[in-house]
Amino acid sequence: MREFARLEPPPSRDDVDDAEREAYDRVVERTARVHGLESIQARYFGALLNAPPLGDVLVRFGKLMREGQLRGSYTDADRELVDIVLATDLGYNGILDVHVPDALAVGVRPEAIEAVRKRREHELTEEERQIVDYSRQVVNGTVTDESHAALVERLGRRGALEFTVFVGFLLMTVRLWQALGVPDPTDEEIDELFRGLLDGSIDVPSPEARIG
Amino acid sequence: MPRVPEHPKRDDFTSPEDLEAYDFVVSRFRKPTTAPGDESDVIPYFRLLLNSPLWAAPLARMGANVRTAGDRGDSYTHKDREWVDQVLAVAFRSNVVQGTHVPDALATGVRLEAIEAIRAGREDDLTDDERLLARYIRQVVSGTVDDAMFETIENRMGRRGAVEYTIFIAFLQLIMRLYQAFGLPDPPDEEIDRWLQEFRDGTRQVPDFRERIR
Repeated sequence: MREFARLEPPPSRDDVDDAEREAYDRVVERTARVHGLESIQARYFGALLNAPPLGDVLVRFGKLMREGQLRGSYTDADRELVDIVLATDLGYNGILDVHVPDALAVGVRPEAIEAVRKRREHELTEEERQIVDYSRQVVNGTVTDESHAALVERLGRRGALEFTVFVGFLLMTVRLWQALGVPDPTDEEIDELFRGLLDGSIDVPSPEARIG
Repeated sequence: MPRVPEHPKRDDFTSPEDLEAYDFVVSRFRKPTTAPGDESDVIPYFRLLLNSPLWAAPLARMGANVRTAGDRGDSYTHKDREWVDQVLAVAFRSNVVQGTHVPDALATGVRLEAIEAIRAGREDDLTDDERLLARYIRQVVSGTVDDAMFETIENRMGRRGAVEYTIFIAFLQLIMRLYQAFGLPDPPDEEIDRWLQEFRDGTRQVPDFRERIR
């Protein structure tokens, strides 16, 4: 695990202005409930506590992004596959600590996770490849009329818009984790986690574990 | 032509969550002189986003937060913020936000010569501070920030400022990628050059950037 000196412990509640304590408390509450205060995720949300109102908006934004399936938009499997793609393409494993387990939990094929991480994308199904390719187009600013129309065909107008926003949100999030110095597990650590989830030595979480 | 059609009317939404989000987004843009129900002040990007009011609302909230940070005095300045737009426009080879942000950059004190220099790749013509921020902005969007650079930014604008500036840079990356994905207009470089010349010779006026600080 790569650790970075720039990620300092979060400010204490007493250091926060009265007007911002409500926002501070909401960030801490959700982090504790959904991820646990000792998790890698808690390190990220701890950094956001330097700016409680912005951190609060980001936390609520992230919660909404996880509710796509619940609201009849993109599926949890679509969403989790994007996490695998962006982590791989952007060279950062910090989010995989949660999203490899979550991807398996919501039905992403293990072969698809492996194919993206090991660059064997000919092993993806056509549906998976559409998600992978479109996500990359959003990240690189290269969405075309055709790829957008195909996504609308698949998810509907509203679903396509929400999926596009989600990809942008995840791009922002990964770059924030990297910039703020949230710990970055090695590829070997993620491989070991993946093997453990597949052979049953590590429990796959509930699909709803981090929604809410 | 934008790939996403303009938003449905308010009446097309039925869920209370959507309606509340819809009203919030529209209210963010409505000028005090505009009549309730008139949505003409909503900018094109948000008109598209209103196909999903629920997803549009957090983007509007984020926007309000990052734009007002410069008023507090314990974070980045408005000028620092506008510099990000200039740096990313060049880094992403996209002028999608320049229609608003070239004028606002000048209004907040970004040097016209700095905009011209960064657009022309003449980084030697930037001040040390402009160059420092440009380097940091590029590091954030390419995932290459290191401890030493973060410390330098922290020394310049404080811990909170450094965290907020980083969030703003990553947020602007999100916005620009959404503009591109939705197919919003991207003015050619020649048009931006012409505006800059008009600002230089005084035929185009610098606006009051505070109209957008809300």
